[in-house]
Amino acid sequence: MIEKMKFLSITGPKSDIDRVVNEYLSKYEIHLENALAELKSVQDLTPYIQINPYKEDLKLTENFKKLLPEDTNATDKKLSIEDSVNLVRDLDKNLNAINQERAEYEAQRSRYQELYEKIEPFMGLEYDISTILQFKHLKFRFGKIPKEYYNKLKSYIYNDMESVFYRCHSDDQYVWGIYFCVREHVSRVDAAFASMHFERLFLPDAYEGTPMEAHTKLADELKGTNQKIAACDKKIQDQISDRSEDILAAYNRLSAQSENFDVRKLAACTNSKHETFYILCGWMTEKESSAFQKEIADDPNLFCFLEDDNSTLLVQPPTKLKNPKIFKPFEMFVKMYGLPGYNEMDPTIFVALTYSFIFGCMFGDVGQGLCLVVGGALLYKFKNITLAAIMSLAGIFSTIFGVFYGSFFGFENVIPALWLKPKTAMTTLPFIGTMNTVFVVAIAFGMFLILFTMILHIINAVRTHDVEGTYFDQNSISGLVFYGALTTVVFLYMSGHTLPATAILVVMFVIPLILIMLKEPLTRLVKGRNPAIEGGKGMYFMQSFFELFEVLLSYLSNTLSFVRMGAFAVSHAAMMEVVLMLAGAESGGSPNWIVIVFGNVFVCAMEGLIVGIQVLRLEYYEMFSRFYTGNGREFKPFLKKN
Amino acid sequence: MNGLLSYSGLTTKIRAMESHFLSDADFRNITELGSVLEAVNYLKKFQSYESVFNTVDENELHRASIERMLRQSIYRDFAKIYQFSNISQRKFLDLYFKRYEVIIIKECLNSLFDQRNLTIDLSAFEEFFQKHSHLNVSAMSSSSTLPEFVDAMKGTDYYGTFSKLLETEHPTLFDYEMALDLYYFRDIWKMKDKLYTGQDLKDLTTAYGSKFEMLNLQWIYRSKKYYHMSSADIYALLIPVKYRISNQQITAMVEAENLSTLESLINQCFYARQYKGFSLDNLESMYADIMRHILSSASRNNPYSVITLYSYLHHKEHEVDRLIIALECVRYRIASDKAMNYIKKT
Repeated sequence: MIEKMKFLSITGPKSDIDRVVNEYLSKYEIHLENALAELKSVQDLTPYIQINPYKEDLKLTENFKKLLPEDTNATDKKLSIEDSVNLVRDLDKNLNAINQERAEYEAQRSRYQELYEKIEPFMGLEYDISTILQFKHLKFRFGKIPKEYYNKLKSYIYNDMESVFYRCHSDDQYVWGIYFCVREHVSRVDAAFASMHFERLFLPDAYEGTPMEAHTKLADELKGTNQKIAACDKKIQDQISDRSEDILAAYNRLSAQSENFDVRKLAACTNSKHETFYILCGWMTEKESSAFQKEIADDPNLFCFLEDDNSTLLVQPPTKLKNPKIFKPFEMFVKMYGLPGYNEMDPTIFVALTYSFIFGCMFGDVGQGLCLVVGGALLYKFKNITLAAIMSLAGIFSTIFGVFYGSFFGFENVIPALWLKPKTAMTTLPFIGTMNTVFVVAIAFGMFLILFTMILHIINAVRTHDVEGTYFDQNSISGLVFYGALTTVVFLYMSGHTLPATAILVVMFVIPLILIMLKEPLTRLVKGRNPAIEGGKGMYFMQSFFELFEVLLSYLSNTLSFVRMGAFAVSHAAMMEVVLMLAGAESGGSPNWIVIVFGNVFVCAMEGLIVGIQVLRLEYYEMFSRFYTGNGREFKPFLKKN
Repeated sequence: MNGLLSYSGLTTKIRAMESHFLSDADFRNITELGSVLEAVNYLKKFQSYESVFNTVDENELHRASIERMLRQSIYRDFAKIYQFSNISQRKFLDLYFKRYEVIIIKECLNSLFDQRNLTIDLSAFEEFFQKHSHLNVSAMSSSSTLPEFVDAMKGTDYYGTFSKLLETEHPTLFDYEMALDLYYFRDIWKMKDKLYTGQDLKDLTTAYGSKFEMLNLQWIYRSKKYYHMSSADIYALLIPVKYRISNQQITAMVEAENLSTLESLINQCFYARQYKGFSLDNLESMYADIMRHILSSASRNNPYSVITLYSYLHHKEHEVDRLIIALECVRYRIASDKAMNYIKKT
């Protein structure tokens, strides 16, 4: 079922908006629309712009919340908005000092890190580094040189050069080192090294001892600084986790408050010199809206206007599904396909009944069905998995059909079959021959289901005043007459009755088909549009002839699609027979119980999955496609009811 | 014996292809023709050029387009041989193929550094490169800045070399081309040791070692005569190969005070002692002669080996180089004898 909706507009003095939101909108669910967009035709409306004062505090709280240990539980504690803000600001002030200290340490760490990385390639140098940096008469250059040029340097130039190169370290691309030369030669030596693509690196005079010593020392310093930073983090953590409950409560309050504040984004303001009013508009369910109106009747600062006729509005009302609790899980399947439009029928109950029924008849087993019922119910209760609830409901029908088929955990002779054994029961039909009874029943059931969905389609079409959908297309009255006649004739023929006169057959078959073929021009004719056929006539007839062909084919294939109901009933019995055979139970001896249990678990899981999917496919493809569009939008309350 | 079995088909094919090379008499005939159009028509008589010139619009005989078509014929021959080779032979061809990649990359670099912003048309080679290389030719030719160009080469062997250069200050076209060449030479020198052993390795070492050292000699000579570069700069640009010329000899040549000292030093080196007629003026033609001699004699001595492949491809390219000269001579109406001189020098 789809809840009836009312469109209402609320208005009051501009400054009063927060009170209204806190007082009423948390009690009544309302789907707010953007007032400016809704009231396009009204002049002189402006957006309600005000900066959210809670944003900063909320951000602070969010940061605190992130620092809380992950296993912190949710809290029920309530804080007022003033307390929350004060708490957060105090905490921030307290932490500020620690944060500053931490930032200093971090700067120190990055300084050490830089020094550490710079000295690393020169660790091979066994000489006091600051002494080198103090050299007055000897020029020195730290740097790196690409490996291929280093080889050239070595083999051609180095021997005749007035320079000493000390190689410290090398990887697969570069050689690091220092070259020294006396002041007089420096420009020549520099030029030669530059030709060899020597890249200079500058070391600051901040090292003690040899590079090796400096390196170890820096590593220690880094470790120390990291520890200090960790200590700061610990302090912050302690402060915060002491008050974890308060922080969570403050966060809840602040985020709710900031969310409430954001109602302004959807509001509009009137534009007058004396007093400005806000306007909010949105949808409420019929029941709630009357309660809401009653409550605000005495409020002097709040006015509410109710729209009586939804058809004058620009937008389609949102859809809120309301179904008995037992059918609720099946709303998932409907939502997966698409929410029903506001004026459409809610197919949830239809899905719930057909899905469970078809599932049951494809998976008929008393024992496994009961397992599904119990297992699904438990999973739904403790883990809240919607699919488990569906399984549980479908399991009920499995159990019922299990009784009909006389199957208990695969044992076919423990309980008597109330109806038939799917694998062995046969029917002889004229023209076709002998086949499993379940197949015949499945197709017959499918035919009626198709007829039923056609009726649903016609009802939907009448509701939306869709002429083509009511009279002419393949799921309309024409389609119904054609398919209904076909069904009747098949039944009469199969049950050995004589067929009606040819004249009647022509009326029942040919006329609906011609109507379906000419659906477009007929619709245009009914609506009084000219011309009836757009474009070339020859082309049109050609095209609609082939389309008609496709329509006929789809009737056939959709009908045959229901055979799978019977097929899975048979396959379930066959698979369990294999399990029993493996367990050695079919010859009457004492069976291997382990094999029986695992076989049952395996078949139950696999068939459950396959059957579940196949039924869903039948629902979506054979049924929904006939009558359901699913183009609704969801009812999203601005605030959830507490 | 191993070589005989695996190379017999390929060597026969290459012998057949070699028979289509142009003879000296053919070159003379070309130089005696009156116009480029006639020369192209003359070339159409040869099987190896017939297919490339067949589809040509005769108004389209611009210098660049002719050179492109001639290059196309090299690529066609390469593709033919590639098609005919087995996996181990293709390893050499893949290595050799880098040469063509280098050529095309240089062409792109040239147009990138060229202020005129000409976009180059590489579409003719695209199919060939798609088949044999990882280079994204269309992305390369459409990039308009250096970083974009280097980015287009991501995933290829050249990316490392180029991205290193991008980091340095103001790299010039010369830097890029030099880095590319050095990378290519080093790669070949290294890869040949990995791919080959025995006689194959010996032949390849002789061929490439001589080639690189001769190039080094030319380079030293040119940088001393024309560019007056400092010795350290010269060292930086030498191909790092040691084959027949020792480091001392190289150092002595680079440090030589004037050209006559250089000439006497060059005359003492292995190549001058081995091949008569060395002088500073004919280093280039000596280079061509020596390469031709080394490759032809090696491929004659070991016909069923990788050197035959190298020899064919080298000669083919050399022929195209000479054809380009010949066509230029025709274009500028240079007398046949003089033109033949230029051709011989190439």
